[in-house]
Amino acid sequence: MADILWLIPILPLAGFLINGLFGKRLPRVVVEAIAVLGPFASFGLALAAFFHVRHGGTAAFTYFSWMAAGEFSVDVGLHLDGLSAVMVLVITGVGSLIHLYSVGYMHEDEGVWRYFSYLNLFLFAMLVLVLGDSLPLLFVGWEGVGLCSYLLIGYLYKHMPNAEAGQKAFITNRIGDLGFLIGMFALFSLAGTLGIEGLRLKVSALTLGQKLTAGPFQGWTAGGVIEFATVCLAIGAAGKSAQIPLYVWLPDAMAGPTPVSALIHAATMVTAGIYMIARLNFVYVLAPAVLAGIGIVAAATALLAGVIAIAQNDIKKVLAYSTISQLGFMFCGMAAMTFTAGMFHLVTHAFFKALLFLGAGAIIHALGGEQDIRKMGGLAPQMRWVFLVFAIGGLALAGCWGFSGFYSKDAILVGVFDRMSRAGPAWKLTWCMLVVTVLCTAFYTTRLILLVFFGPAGDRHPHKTGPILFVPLAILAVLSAFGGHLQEGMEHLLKPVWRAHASPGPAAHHAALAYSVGAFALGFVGAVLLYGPWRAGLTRFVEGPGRRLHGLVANKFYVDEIYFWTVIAPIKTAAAGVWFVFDKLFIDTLLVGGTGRAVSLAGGGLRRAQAGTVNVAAGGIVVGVLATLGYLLYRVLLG
Amino acid sequence: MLPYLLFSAAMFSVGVYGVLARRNLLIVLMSIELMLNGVNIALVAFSRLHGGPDGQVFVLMVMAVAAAEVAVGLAILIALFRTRRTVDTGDLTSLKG
Repeated sequence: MADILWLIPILPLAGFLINGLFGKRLPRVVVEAIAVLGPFASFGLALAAFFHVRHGGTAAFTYFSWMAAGEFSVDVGLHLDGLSAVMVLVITGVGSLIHLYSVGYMHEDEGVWRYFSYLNLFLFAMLVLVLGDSLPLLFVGWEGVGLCSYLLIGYLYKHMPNAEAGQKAFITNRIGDLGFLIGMFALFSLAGTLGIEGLRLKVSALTLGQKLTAGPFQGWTAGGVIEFATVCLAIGAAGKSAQIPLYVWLPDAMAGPTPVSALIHAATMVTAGIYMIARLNFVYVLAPAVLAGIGIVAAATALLAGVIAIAQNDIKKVLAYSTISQLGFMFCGMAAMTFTAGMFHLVTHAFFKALLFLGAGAIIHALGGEQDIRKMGGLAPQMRWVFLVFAIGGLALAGCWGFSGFYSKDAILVGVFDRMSRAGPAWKLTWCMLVVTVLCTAFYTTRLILLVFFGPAGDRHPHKTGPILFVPLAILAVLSAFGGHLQEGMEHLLKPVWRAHASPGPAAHHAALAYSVGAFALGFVGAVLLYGPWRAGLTRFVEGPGRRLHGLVANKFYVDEIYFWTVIAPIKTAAAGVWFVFDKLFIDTLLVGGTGRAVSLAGGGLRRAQAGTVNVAAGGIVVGVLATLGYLLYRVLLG
Repeated sequence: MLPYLLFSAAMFSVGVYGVLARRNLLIVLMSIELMLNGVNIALVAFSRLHGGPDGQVFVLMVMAVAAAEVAVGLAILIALFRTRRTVDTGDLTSLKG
């Protein structure tokens, strides 16, 4: 494996370098071929790696030493186990399909080489993230995907809101990254290493109650440091994986081209936080209180995003909020220590969310850029195949029995229920919020499909969806429909990775099944009724007594505005104040301008002596003579 | 003795003032004469005080130099007036750096 493992991330990197450096001069077909072939080749290698792991193998290779300073040293090495094999397979598989789809989707775009080189770079960074065998290397990938996300959100940078959305994503992620870094430093000060295997050994050998006698955490217990580190790392995960309070960037990230939304902002990059927690599961299981907190925050995120999604009218915004909501589910799976369930949901979500985004892209493409679902409607007979795959994706998202999303969501609910029955009241809140979220998910998904595909058809003629757009959709639809059968395989593959994991009893299974099916049915029927026969009543409610409520939800609970007034505006004001006092007054006016003005004033004064007028020159002589005489007199008088 | 010296100093100062403040070259030249003659008075007064001839010899010397200076000065002044049509020192700034 050692001789080919490094090729998995390097192939997309090669595509990035070729297209990035020479793409402008290459013909379009060549650019597209290079961009698509790299990921597909990586996918082939990933399959080989997957079978290697499936037969019980793991692989770890150190390629070279990256940095060494005293006791601190980091090597560049790749690590392949069940977890990274699953992630690599999802990234290269879904990534390849989206590359292929992009060829069709972006065919009108001029600078497509730039687009494809960013997309390849993204794959490279994501693969480094999941294959890296140390936290610093993971962080390189972490930052790399953040950079690519920024570049691709702002891909159509001539339109100002796109560029701003890119900056918002980048800056929000930076806040999380700070947490990640601090958490990493804390782990280093505790364990003295940042390699993941080394961390695992060191952390497992710790006595949690022991007080530290040296280092920056002197006086803390080892368990306290673990809790501190896990909280910081969870903040990092919240930034990348769009959880409260850092989720605000993800809906705006929909400004990027739709395949980018599918790949980066739905299927892969946003799962980086989940992956990181899964990778560090051996640290997290030592801090159950932190996990309970993550569970509550994640469930609140899931619920909040689910409620907001109900009132959104932009097809991509609905999907973006559903992504935030589903990411909340994954975090809950992690928090309940049913790591396999969380990872399973990550995989099925990658399938059906990529499918939904690409389907939405096909619809937007066919309607010439229309994204408002109120202006769609009646598309089912006009776009039968797209309707079929979109409905499969929607049912998987909503958790309809038999589709992949149902099984993974159910596994998470089982885990949370089990945790609730064992670990106490904090989990009751998490459980309730999750069940309500299932209802919301079913409701907004049904609403979306009803508004887009049913109802009166407008006077329009959608373009045909070409085969290059449709093939990825079909493959993803099959995966979304039958992905639920991957559960046992994943269980087998991932079990060796976890340090501890819960195995819920039958009661949890029954309860989760009942609540899950019940909530789905309620949401589904509710949406069908409200957007079918009771549509008039709904309209009356929204325009009448429910106007305030609807406005509150449609405006995303004014979270962006609250952030603006509580965080952004004060920082901006303070920054403007500091700029004015320090930059403008102190540096510009006093130091830079002051020096200039002093020289200019002195020069101006001396310049007058050089007027060339006889009188002034004579005055100079007189002053000189007087000074000389005065000096002589002074010498004579004082001896 | 003192009145002579005070008179001499006053005359010299009037000359200095004239040189510095007046802008007509003719008057500046006249002021220089005043300064020279102020010095002359001091020289004569000291000569009388010491009872020696040195001071008076110097005075004659100064007068000769002053005559030469006036001759050259007036010649320059006339030459200037011919080329510049002015004897105002404010306009004569070709020495300006």
